[in-house]
Amino acid sequence: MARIRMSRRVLMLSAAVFAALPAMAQDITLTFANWATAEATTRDGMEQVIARFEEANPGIRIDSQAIAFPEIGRQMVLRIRSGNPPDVAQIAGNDTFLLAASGGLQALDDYAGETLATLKPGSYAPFQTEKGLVAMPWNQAPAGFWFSRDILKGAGLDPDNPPATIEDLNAAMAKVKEAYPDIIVLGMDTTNRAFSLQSNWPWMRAFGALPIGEGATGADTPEMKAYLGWMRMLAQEGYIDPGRKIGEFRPLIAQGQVAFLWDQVLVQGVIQNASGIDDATFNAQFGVAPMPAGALGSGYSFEGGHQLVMFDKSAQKDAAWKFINYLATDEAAAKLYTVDTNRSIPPAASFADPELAASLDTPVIEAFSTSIIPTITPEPFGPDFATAATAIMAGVQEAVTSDRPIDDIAADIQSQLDR
Amino acid sequence: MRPGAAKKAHLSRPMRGRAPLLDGMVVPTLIVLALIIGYPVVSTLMLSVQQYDLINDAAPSYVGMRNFSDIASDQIFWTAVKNTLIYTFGTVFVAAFLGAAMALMLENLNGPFGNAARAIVVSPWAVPFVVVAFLFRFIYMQKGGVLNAVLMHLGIIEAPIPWLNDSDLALPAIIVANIWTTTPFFFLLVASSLSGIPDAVLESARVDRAGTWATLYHIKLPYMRNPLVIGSLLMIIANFNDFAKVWVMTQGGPGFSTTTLVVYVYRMAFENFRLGYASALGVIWLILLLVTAALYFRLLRGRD
Amino acid sequence: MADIRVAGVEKDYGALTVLHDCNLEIRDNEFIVLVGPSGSGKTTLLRLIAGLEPISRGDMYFDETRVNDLDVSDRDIAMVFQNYGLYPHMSVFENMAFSLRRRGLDRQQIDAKVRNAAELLNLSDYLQRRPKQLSGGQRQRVALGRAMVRDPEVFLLDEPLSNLDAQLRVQMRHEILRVHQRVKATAVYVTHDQVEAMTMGDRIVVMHQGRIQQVGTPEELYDQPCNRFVASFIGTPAMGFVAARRAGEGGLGTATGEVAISAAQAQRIGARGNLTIGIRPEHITLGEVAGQAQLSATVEMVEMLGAEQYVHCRLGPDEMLTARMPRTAGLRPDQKVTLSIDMDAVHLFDAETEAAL
Repeated sequence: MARIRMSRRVLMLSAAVFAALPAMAQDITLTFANWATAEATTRDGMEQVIARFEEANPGIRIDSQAIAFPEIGRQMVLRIRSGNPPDVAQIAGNDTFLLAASGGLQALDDYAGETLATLKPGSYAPFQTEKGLVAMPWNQAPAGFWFSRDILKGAGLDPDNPPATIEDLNAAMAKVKEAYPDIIVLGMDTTNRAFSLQSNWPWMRAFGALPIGEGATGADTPEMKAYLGWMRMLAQEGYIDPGRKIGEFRPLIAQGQVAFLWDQVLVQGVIQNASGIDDATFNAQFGVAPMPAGALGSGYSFEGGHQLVMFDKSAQKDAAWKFINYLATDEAAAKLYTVDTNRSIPPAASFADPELAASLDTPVIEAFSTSIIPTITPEPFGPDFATAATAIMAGVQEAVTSDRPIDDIAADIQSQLDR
Repeated sequence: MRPGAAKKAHLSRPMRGRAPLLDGMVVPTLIVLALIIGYPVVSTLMLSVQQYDLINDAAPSYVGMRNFSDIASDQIFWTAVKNTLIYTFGTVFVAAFLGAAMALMLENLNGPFGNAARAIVVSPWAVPFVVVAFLFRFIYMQKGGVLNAVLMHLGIIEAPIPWLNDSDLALPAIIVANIWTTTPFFFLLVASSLSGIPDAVLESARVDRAGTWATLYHIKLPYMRNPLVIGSLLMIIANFNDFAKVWVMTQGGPGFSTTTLVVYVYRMAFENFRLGYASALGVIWLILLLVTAALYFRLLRGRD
Repeated sequence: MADIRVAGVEKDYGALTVLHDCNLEIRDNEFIVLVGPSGSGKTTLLRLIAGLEPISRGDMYFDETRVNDLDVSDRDIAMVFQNYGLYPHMSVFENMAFSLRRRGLDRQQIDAKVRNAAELLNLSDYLQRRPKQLSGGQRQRVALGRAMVRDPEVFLLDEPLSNLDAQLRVQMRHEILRVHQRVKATAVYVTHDQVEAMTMGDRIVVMHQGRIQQVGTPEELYDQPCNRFVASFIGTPAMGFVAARRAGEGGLGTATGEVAISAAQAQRIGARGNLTIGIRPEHITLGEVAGQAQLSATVEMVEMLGAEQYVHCRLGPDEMLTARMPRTAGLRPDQKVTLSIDMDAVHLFDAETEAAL
């Protein structure tokens, strides 16, 4: 009897070992720092994409680390410096160039190689620096001038033709305020952070101001003062709600509380998610246009899309590239997340999947592709951008919330930029 | 030594000096304290004379007193110092006054009503400071905040006031939140010092025909003075370091109107990643605190 | 100067009555002492006179004006507390000047009054010191001085000497009396020490368990105590008590002997069967004295006092008598002695009511 029991034990043990073998064999865990899983709108879509990737790649597990958008730049820099960065990170705006400057990123040229040829040149060109391709574009999300047709109609304006110049805009805002005294006429981000400067940069350019970067004229210029004066007017007339982050306006516009909103292409996703309306209803209620032109005759936009970066301390770069490439170019992932969840534009130049192509054929995306994307103006991203943002946005906040003379504020900004 | 003592000495512990073993037991704690407190302080001092930007990979380089001379000409630094002083002293003095006043008013209120009143006065102390910060952020919200809603309903104001978004109102608004949270501390301090006044002293005052105000000024105030001074010192030091409330409510904005020294250091260190400069700010901050503490100790000893 | 009339005054603390039916007339300028053991209600009565606490029932009159509802600060009194109650943050001068400032006197007047009082009490050198820099006796004098400068109608003193050592206490007694003579005000003095009461008071009020037992001059209380408590409380060494039974027409039987009584005494006793005899030490002689009642006893303890000694003798399980003997009488514990009692001088008390007969 003992012998039989013994051999049964051996059998069970070996069975267990064999069952565990595949799991033991090749389990790579990739750490993926991102804010997609930190925000309600994008969490489900992101998790589904991750799950699909794991299914298609059985030896790779993704450990998603949710980090809030305002925190991610700071945290990545600190983790690079302290030697424990993740494998892959979602990044955007100035933070991308911050990380690049820190020297902790893996250049992606060898990995991306041929894939780049399938992308729109404009989507990856900004990320080719002297260190190589520092980031892989994941989606494009430029900012546009959104408007609520219902509110325009109610204020006696043409719901299909939003103001084309800033002067028209000023007049339109006055009418909206009169008709709807309690709503937010113009939603803009006026917080004091790098993203805020990025978001308001096109408006400054519309007034002709160029405070930093190549060919900068500084902050103590008539153009900059004109911009600051215009911001102050917006606050004094009660058109804007100062101090709010851009994210705070998105649910409000879904509730019909905002007339004009300066925000990225993903607003559509947020609104439809919040109010559950379908595409047709959405297009009937909202529209998007290029920024009203300034005195110099142009409006601008900025690229607010997201990128993916790989850290050079990563121990599993091949697997990390697989994941990055999947997110950026896989059409199913693009359809599920980039388009349907995030409401942004994939960087690929063309699409094999007709459904995907069709889903990108909407009035909103049409407006972005034809009218808005061409107005994107480059911004002087980098470590100095963040420092400058503190100074410039503090000045903007001062202009908006106090009565201090604009000249003094402009001079102050300049003195801080000079340090 | 007396004859018998010599015999006894070797049987019992030596009278002079103490047992070295017991002294030695403090050493591990001292080591831990040295690491936790000493290391960061020394490290900050060392970083303050270096240029160390976390962004580039460059190693920290020695720049002598340049960080400090930069600070001297830094407009925002002086604004931050001013804001810190207003925030700290404004909070402490008003809270001390309110706490003392409430302690005096509730002193003789007994029974269930008195206990309920005391519980209400002390309750803000129990609220964690981050919760306080968020609580007041919601109260102060321009659209949808309780304060504006109540004031408009009562007809005191016509349009909502941007409490936290107005350069002139933001700092006082945060100070009010801080006062709300600090008053209970002074209330408890003063209430306990009042209950320690001997009955005979108070009755003598009654017999001597001292009215309420005379008793307050001549008799009670001297008893309250020392606890108030010590309490104020503690609260000043605590408020010097108050980061959470300011950051949660305004992040130091709008502009730099609510940027206190702590907030400025945070910005420099973790948004601009200029660790050398931030460390120099930290050194100045440390010096300011030490000076305050020294002044107070002088004051305390003088009074005794 | 004021006379105080206490009429049927009672005091409750919650459900507990601590003073029962107190009736007392204090004359102008009198130095009256409230004396009794702890818990007898003497301090309570004092505080009611002061107005520090409200009267539950009864009336109180100052110079025939009803003062029940008059607040402390409106009664013209000054009080010296047991713990002095000096203002610790003020100098001696300030302590004494405080009440005068409240009254609004000008600086010169205040200065004069304070310095006067200070001189009277030998405090002139200490005027700038703080209370914690003074000794107990000095603090006591400051408390006195503080009361004095007010020129009150009534001085109230609540056991002011109980925190001082014996020698200082004797000294301070004289000081207080001296001050009282100078100042000419009515004084009500509370103490638990009957020696203090006897030496200081014009009249004494003996209190026990919230009731006034007897009011009278020291001599009256000593010679004619109205009950056993007063008799045992007043007098040092204390009176001794022996239980007795009627034994025939002219005698009483005790546990250790028979004693003869006079006709007057027999009449006072009346029909009572049981009574108590109270005997003061000075009426006891050790040894057999012809013509006096004799009781046998055993010496229990001998207290040596210097010039004389107290011999404590036990007669029975509950009965002790104390005799005063010159120091030369060599007596030892357990020695059997005979005590001669001067029966003319003894006090007789009803065994149940304890009232004097």
